[in-house]
Amino acid sequence: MKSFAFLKTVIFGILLILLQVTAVHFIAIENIVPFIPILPLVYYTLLNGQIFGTISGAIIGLLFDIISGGLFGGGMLALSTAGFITGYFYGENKIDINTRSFWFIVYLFTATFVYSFLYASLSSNNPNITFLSLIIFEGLMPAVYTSIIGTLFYLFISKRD
Amino acid sequence: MLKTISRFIANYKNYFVYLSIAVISIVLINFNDNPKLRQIKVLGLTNFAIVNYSIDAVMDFFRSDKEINSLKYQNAELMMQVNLLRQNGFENKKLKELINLADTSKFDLVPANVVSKLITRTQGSFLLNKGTNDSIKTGMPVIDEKGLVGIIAEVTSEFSVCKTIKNSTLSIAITIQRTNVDGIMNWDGKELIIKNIPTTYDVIPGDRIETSDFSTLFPPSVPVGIVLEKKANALGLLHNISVKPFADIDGAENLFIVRYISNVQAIKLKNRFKESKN
Repeated sequence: MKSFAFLKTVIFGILLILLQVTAVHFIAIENIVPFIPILPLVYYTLLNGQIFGTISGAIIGLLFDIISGGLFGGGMLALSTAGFITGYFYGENKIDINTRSFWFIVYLFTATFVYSFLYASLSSNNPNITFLSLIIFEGLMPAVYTSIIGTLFYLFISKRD
Repeated sequence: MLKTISRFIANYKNYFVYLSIAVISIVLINFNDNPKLRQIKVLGLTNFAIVNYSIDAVMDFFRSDKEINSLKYQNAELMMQVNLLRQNGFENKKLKELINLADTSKFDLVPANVVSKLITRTQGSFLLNKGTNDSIKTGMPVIDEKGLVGIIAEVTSEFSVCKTIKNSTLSIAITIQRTNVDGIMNWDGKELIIKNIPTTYDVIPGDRIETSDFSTLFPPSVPVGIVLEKKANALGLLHNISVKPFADIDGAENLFIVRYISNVQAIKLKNRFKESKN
């Protein structure tokens, strides 16, 4: 059952990575884009736990590094960390609350913030970029944007049920 | 003892899994420039680039027009030529003599389409649909019809990765055209900035900026942007100059790769040639 969920996460992840690199730039606001491959990662981590999130985060991250041509290993570390941290919110008895309430958006925001901030910190080696700008423009802004997109995803999930 | 260790690992397996992945990632990050890892990267990039290209082709159906592309090509050529002429004008005025620009007066442009984009505020890069099959090499500059866009960072047989000027890892040697003030421009995550220009230097908003003769990455006189504003630093002795790029980096779709071998490569080639003669 878990391996099927794992496969689903990675397949959704790949599809969303392709969408991320080919189409998401059309909705960029001042170079700030949502990071949509994190949506299935957060959702399935809240359903399956921390180890699941860490490993699938690493695989989706590595695939993102390969497909995007970015820093090799950067996406892997950042996404597995995001999956690991999301895993702390997992609870067998709170799956419904986690995935079908406002909390899903909060967890998505947290995970995207961790991912974006870490990825930007790893890939930029320019001393002119301040820590504050990394937190605000690389961490918070993409997290807010992804959460907005995540709200639509959340509405879709809740309507489907 | 063994039982204790296995119990310890079982209790903290979450952390062990994360730690192992973190170590692998850090090793990969450290060996990013390793030739073997680059090969794997290029292999992966090529395979997925084909998928990206197919998706992009579908999107292209809604937006592209051959005539527009050919006009853009013409525009890019003209832009490079006009800029050279403008440069000649400035130098004529100052030196009262012509300089020999024969080597740089003709640019060989290869039209390329953006297949995918990796946009973050600090790490702008594009995947282009031209590679070694079209004689594209690492280090070749990329322009649009208005000015400099970036540089080729990775090449596969059919695709290449362009690091844009909105990438914090790229530093560009530039010249302010009117006064020949040189500087280094890079992207700080918010804007293009030239740091530490003495306040005594004559720089005013609106001055044109182009690549410098000293640049080892780019051909000279490629238009980059205009001076937007000057900001004095804390002591007031030096200025930081913010630059507005000519090229539409965020909306880039049809670009041109300039078949230009940077100075360093040319020097290396010359040396190799000399050695082989000896």
